[in-house]
Amino acid sequence: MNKISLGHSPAAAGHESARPRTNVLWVAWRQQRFQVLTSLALIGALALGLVIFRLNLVSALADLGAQGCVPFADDGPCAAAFAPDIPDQFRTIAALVPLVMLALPPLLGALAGGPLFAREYEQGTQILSLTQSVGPVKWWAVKTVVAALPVVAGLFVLGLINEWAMNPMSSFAAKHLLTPGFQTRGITPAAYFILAFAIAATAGIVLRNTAAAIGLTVAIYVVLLLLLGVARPHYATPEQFRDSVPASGSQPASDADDSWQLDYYYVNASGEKVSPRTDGCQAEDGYQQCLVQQGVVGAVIQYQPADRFWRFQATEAALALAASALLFGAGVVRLRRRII
Amino acid sequence: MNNTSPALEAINLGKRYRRGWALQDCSFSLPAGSVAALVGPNGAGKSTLLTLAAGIATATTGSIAVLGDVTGGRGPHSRLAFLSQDQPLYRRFTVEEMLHFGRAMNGRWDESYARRLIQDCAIPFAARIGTLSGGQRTRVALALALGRRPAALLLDEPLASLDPLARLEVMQALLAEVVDTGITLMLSSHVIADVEDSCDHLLLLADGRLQLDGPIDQLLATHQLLTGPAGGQPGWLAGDAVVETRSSTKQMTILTRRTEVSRPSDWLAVEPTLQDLVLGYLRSGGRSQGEMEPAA
Repeated sequence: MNKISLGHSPAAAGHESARPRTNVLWVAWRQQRFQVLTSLALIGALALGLVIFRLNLVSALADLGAQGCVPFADDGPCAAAFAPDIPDQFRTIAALVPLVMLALPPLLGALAGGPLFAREYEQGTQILSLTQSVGPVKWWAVKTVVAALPVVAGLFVLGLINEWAMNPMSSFAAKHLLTPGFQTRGITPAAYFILAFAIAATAGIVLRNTAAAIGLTVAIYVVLLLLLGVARPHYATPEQFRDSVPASGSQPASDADDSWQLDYYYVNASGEKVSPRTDGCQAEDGYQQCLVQQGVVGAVIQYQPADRFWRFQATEAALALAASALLFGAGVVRLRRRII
Repeated sequence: MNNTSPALEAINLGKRYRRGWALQDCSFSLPAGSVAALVGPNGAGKSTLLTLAAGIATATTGSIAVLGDVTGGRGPHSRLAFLSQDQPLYRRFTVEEMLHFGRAMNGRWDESYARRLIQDCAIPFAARIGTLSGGQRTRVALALALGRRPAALLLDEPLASLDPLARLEVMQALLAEVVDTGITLMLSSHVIADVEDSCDHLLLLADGRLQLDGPIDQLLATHQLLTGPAGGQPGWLAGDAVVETRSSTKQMTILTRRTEVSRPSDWLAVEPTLQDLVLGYLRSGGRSQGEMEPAA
C-alpha cells in the first residue's frame, strides 16, 4: 500500500490551522465581467446623454435670455416668458427619459441575477465550484457582490445625474414625487436594481432555470413595485392646505410647485369632510353658491410637499433594500441546504 | 486525521430523497491507497454515496468519515477531490483560465503539477473548454482535481461519456498518477470492463444497498463458481452459501460464498471472474440483467 504522511508534513499541518487563501473574486469577475461591463457601458452612455441634454438645455435657456430661470418653474415670470420658446426636442427627451429609466433597473437586475446561479445549476458547475476549498456562503457572497455592486454604483450615479439633468426642465419633466419622476430620479433606480437582482438571483437558486428565473422576476418585481406605490403616500403624514369654496368643479393645480396632491375634499363648518351633490349645480357662477347651500365652507388639499423628495427616496430605498435582504437571505439558506 | 485512518469509512450511512431511499445501511471501510471500484446498475446509489463522501449532500442516517474526519454536507474534506458526473467545467473559460480557477479556489494548489498533467495530453492552454473533446475535458477536470494534491480522489462515472480510446487513455493517465502519488481512488462505473483491470477494491451497490465490499482478490478467492448437471439444487450444498443459481436445460451454474465444500465429480468448480461475481450478486438481488453492462 502506498503511504503518505498526511498529518506530518508541514504543509498539511499548516493547512489545518490557517484558512486557505483563495481568490474567488477573480473567478466571479471572470464569469460576470461581460454582464457587468455591458451594464456599465449602457449606464455610461445614458449618463453621458443626460449630461449633454442638461448642458444643451442650459445653453438653450441662456440663448432665450432665461439664464436666471434654472430651475425652470411653471409659475413665475420665467414660464410665462420663455416656456413656449423651449425647443420641442427637449420636451420629447424629457418625456422619453423616464420610460428608459423605469425599465433599466429591473432589466439589468433580472439579466444579472437570473443567470448568476441558475446557469451554474443548469450546467452542473456549482458542484465544481463547491467542491474546491471555498464554502457555499462565501461563493454566494462574492458572486453576488461582483455581479451587483458595480451596477448599483453605476445606477446610483445615473439616478443623481438624471435628477440634476431634469431639474432645469421641472415644468415639463416627470415630477419629483409623482410616477415616473419619483422612480427615475435620485436613488430609487439603484434600489430597484438591487430588488430585481435579489428576486432574480434567489429565483435562480430555487428554480435552477435561467429563463424561468427571469420570468418570475418580472412578475414579482411588478407586484412589489405596485405595493410600494400603495405604501408611498403614507411615508409621511400629508400636509393640509385649507382653500376657499371653489368657483367651479375643476380642482386647483396644487402640485404646480412639484408637490404631490393626494386628496381634495370639501369641509363643512365643523371641519368635517362632506360630499355635496354637485350634479345639480350649474357650471361657473352658480357652482360655488350651490356648494355653500349644502353647507360647504371650504376645501382641503392633502399633499406631500416637494421638499420631502429625498426623505421619500430614502424611505422607498430602505423598503426595497429590506425586501432584497429577505430575498438574499432565503437564497443563501437554500443554496447551502441543497448543493446538488 | 492520521496515518491509520481509512481513506473512507461509512457507518450506517443512509440518504433519503423525497422519492425514497437512495442509500441505506451502508457501512464500509476503504483503506488508504486503495483503488476502489464503485459498481452497480444505474440508480443503485453510486452518485449518492459519492456526493455524501464529497460533503455536498447531507446524510439522512449514519455518517461518513474522510481520512478520519466526519463530513457533513459543508463541502469536501480539504484533502479530498471530487469529480462529478460529466465533469462540469466552465465552457467559456480557456484551459489556462480553468487552471487559474483551480489556483483561485484552493489555498492548497500545485500549479506545476496541474500544468504538467495538461501538457502530458497536449491540450493547448489557450483552447476554450467548450471546444475540447470529451476525453480532453475529462483530462482537464482531472488535472484540476489532482492539482489540489488530494489524498483521496472520487470520480463519478469518469468514463461514461468517452469513446473507447479515450476511456483507455484517461484510465491509464489516472492510474499513472495513482502509482506516482499513492492517492486513494474511488471511481464509480456501471461498466465492469472499465474497472476490472485497474481496481483492487470493490464496492457493489444495488437498490441503494451495499451488496459486496472488500479487496477484489479476497472476494474472488472466497467465492466459487460451480457448474454441474441440471436439476434441483444439490443437497450437498449448504443453502446459506449459495449466492445465485442459474440453470439451463443441460447444466446448472451456482455461485457460492464458500470454497471448501467437497463436491461430486460431475461438478466443476472455478474461481469466478469479477464479472461473474458482480452479475451473480446483482441477479440474486432481483436485478434485471440488462441494467448492468458487462462490457463497453
